[in-house]
Amino acid sequence: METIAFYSYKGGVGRSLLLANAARFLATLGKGVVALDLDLEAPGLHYKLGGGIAGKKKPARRGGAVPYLVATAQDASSAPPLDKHLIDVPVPPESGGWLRLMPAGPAPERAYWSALKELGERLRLDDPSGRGLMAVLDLQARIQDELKPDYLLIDARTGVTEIGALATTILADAVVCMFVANQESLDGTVTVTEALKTAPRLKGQAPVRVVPLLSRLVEEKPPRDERFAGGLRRLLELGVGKAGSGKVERELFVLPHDAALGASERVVGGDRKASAFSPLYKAYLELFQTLFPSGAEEARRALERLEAVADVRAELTREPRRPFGFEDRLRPWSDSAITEGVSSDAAWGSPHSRYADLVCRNDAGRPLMVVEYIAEGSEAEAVEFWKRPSDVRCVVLLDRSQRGHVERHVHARDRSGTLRRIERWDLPFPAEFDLFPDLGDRSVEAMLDALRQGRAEAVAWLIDEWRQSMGGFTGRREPIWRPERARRILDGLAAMEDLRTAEEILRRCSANWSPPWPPERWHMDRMMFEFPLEEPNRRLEDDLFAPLFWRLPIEAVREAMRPTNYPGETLSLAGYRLLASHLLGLNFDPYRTALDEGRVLAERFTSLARPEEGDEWLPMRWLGRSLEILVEQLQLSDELPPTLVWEEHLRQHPYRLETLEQARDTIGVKARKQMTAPAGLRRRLRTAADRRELATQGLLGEYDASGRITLYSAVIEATAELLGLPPRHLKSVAFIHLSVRALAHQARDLDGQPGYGFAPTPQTSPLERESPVHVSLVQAFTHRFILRLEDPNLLAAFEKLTPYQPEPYRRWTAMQSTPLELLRALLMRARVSEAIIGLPGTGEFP
Amino acid sequence: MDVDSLHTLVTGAIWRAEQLEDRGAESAAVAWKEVSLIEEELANALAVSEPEGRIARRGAVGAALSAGDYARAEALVQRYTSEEGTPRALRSELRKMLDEDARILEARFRYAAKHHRVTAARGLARQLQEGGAFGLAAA
Repeated sequence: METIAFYSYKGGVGRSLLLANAARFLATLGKGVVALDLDLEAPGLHYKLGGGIAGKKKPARRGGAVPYLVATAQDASSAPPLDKHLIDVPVPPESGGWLRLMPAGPAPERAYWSALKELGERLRLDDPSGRGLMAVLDLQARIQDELKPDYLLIDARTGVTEIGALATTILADAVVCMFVANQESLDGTVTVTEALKTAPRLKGQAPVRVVPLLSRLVEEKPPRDERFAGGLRRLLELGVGKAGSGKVERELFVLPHDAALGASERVVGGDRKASAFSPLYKAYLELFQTLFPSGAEEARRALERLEAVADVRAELTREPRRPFGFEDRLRPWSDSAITEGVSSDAAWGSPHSRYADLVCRNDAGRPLMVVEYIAEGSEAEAVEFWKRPSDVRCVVLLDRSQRGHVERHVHARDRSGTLRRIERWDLPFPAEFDLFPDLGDRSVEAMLDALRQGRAEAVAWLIDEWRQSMGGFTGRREPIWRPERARRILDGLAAMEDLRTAEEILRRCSANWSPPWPPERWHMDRMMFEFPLEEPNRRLEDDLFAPLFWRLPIEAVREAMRPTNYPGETLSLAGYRLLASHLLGLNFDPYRTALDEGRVLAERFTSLARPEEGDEWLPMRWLGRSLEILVEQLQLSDELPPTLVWEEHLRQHPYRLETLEQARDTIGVKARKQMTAPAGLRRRLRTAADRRELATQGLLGEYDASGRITLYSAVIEATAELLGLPPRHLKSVAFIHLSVRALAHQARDLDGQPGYGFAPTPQTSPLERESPVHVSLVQAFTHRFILRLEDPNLLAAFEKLTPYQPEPYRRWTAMQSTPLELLRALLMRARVSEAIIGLPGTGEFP
Repeated sequence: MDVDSLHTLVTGAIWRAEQLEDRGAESAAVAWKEVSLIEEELANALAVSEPEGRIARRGAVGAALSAGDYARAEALVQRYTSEEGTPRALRSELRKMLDEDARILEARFRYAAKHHRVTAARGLARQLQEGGAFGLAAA
C-alpha cells in the first residue's frame, strides 16, 4: 500500500477536490483505494465524494476517523469494527477497482464536534507513551492489513498542526504540497517542505517524496518577481517536478484555475467522457502520471483518449470558420444530438454491447455515427463489431499512431449496406446523411446527383473540388491538376435547371460574394478595400463564374446579379470581361468608367464647395450614379417587343409618325394583351419565321439607347416552342447576342474610347433599321463565343434559330473561317463609324 | 510527614484507585497519580537498601504507568536506576515495568505493532512534544 498525503499550508487551494479526483481516477484503473479525511477541524471529503454516496450531501452513517479513534481510546480491550466507519463510493463496475471513504465523521453535525472534543481529551499525539501516535498508526496499519488497498490517500490538515505533521511526516510515503500564487502561501509551503525533508521517520520508512503543486493559477505563468521565483526554485530543489518545456529542464506542476470544473467541484477523475475534459483535468492527469507511477501509463492513455475524443466532439459541434466553403452550408451537430460514453445495445440492432465514446443521432434519436477511441491494433475487431447490421452508417475510429498523433479511420456503409473504409478525413455533418446514400462516395457525379435533387449544399463542395482540380488550394487537400474533372464539374453545374440552385452556383463561384452586410457598414468600405482580387479568386471568376454566367438560366443570372447592398453593386463582372477581353479584344471596366465620370462631377462640385485638400472620397461618392446604369444591364420583360409594337401601330395608324413609346401607348393595352396572348403570339411568330424575320434585336430582345438589355420572355418562350428548343437555351443565345452588341458599344479600346459607332439606333420610326454589317459582326462574335463556351445546347439553339432570321444574321456561316483578329479589326472600324464595304466570306470583302 | 503516615495514606490511596478502576471511572487515572506521588514520597524517605524503600520505588513507577503518565514513569525509572547502591535486580525490574507497558501498548495496537516498534513511536512522540509540529518549534 502506498500512502499519499495531500497537504496545504493555507486552505482553499482545491486540496480535497484533487484528492477526490485522484481517488476516483485510481479506482477506475482497477486499483483499491481508501480515502481518509484527517482534516479534522474542517472535514469535507465526504462532500467531494458525496456525489457517489446515494446523492446525499452528508455521510449516510455516523462513523469516521474521529469516532473510530475515540472508540479506540475508550476501549483498550478490542479494536472497533472498521466497516462501521467506512463508506463505499461507487465506481464503474467494469473497472474492477474500488473506493472506500473514511470521512472525518458526521460533520458538521453537533455529534461530530463533541466526538472531536473528546478525542482531544483522550488522545494526544505528543504523548511520550506513544499511545496517541500508535492509535493513528494502528488505523493506517489496519486499513493496510484488512482492506489491502493499493493506495491510501489522506486529506491532511491545513497549516502547522500535530495531526497534519503526523499525516505528512510519518504516515505518508509521498506528500502533495499545494499552494497558490501568493507570497504568503509560498513562504509557508517552503518552510513546511524543508521541514518535511528533514523530519524523522520510523524505522524502515524511505524518505518522504514531496510533490509541490501550484494551484488555482489564473494566469498562464506564475508571478515573475524575484522573491517569488526564488521560492519556486527552492521548492523545485526539494521536491519532484515535471519535465520542462523549452530550455527549462524541470518545472513545477501547476493546476490552472478552472471556473467550470473548479467552481462546481465536480469530481471527474477517471471519467472517460469527453465533456469531462478541461485544462484542470488535463493538469490532474499530468500530475497523476508522476504521482502514481504504477498508473502512469494509464494516465497517459486516459489523457490522450480524452484529448482526442474532446477534439472530435469540438469539431463536430463547431460552427465553420471558413465562411464560403462547403461546410458552411451544413449545420454542425448540435450538443443534444451527441451522447457520450454509450454502450451499444440490442436496440441498435446489435445483440452485443460495445463502448462508444460518442454517438451522433438524428432528430428521431436514431444513431447515425459512432466515434470510438480504440486501442492499438484493434481496428479490425472494432470494424468486425460495427459491420453488423444496424442504423449506424458511419464509424470513426481514432487511434494513436506510432508517431504520436491521432489518426482517424472513417468507415461508412455503401449503398448495399456494407461497411467499408473510405478516403476521407473530415467528419460527416448531419445533412450529409440525407444528402448521400453512401457517405464514402463524394464523387463529382454523386454530388451533381445531389444537386439535381435540390441539395444546394453540394454547390460549395463542387466549387471546392473544381478549384482543387484546377490546381488551387482549398485548404482541404493537396491540389491535383485534373482539368477533365474540372470540366465535368463545369458542365454539370451549367446544366442545372433549378433557378435557386443556379443562383446559388453563381454566388458561390464569385469571389466577391458575401452575405448581405449589416446596415451600419458603409458600402465605400467594400469598394475601397475588398475590390482587389487575389489571383486564385480571379481564376475562379474567369474560368468558372464567367462561363456559368452565360450558360446558366438567365432568370438565375438576373437574380444573382441583383444588387443587395447599394445601387450598381454586382456579384461579378467576370462574364462580361470574358466576352469583352477574351473575344472582342476590348476592356470592360464600368467601375473605372464610373469613377472617371465621378471624378469629373466631383471636380465640378468641389470648385463650388471648396473642399479640403486631399479629399479623395468625393469622386467615390459620385460613383453610384453611373454604376447603376452600367452594371444593372439585364432586364426580363413581358412587354411587347418593338418589332411587334411597330407592326401593330402600322396596322392601326399607317400614316401617323410616332416614337416607340408613343406607339406603345397608341396601340392600347387591350391590343398589347391580345398580341402577347400565347395563341396570337404564336401565330405572329410563325409568320415571322416563315418570312425569316426572327431578329434577335427588336423581337427576341433589345439593347436600347439607355444602355440596358431587355429580353422579351414571352416572345422567346413562344419562339422556342415554335422551333422545338428549350426556352432557357434560346434566352441565353439572345442574351449573348445582345451582350456582344452592348459591349461593342460600351467597352473601351486601348485608347479608353467606347464604340460610339455601335450606339443603339433610337427607336423613332418603324423604318429605322440596324446596320447589316453590325448585325453580321455581332452574330459572328456570338457564334465564336458559343463555340468557346463549348456548350452544345447553346450551339444547337443558335444554329436552329439562324435559318429563321434575316439575312445579316445568317452571314456568320460564311465567316466561320475568318481569323478572329480580322473580325476584331472590323469591329474596331465599325466602332468608329468607319464604312465597311462588304464582309469577309461574302465575296464582297475588298 | 512520617513514614507511618505515608504508609497509611498510600494504603488508602491504592484501595481507592483500585475501586475506581474496577468501576471504570475516569478519575482512576487521577487516583493512581496520587498513589504514585505518595510512593515517591515514601521512596524519598526510605533508602534503596531497605526492602520497603525498594517496594516504594516499584510502587511509584507502577502507579505512574497505571495513571497513564508514561513520562513520569520514565523519569522515575531514570532517577531510581541511577541512584547509588540500587541493586541490579531492582534496576532490571524497573526497566521491565516500562517494557511491560510497551508490550501492553503493542497488544492494544496490534496492527501498528506489526509494522512499527512502540519505542520508535515513543521517540517520535517525544520529538513532537519537544519540537512541535514539523519540528518547527525545536530549539
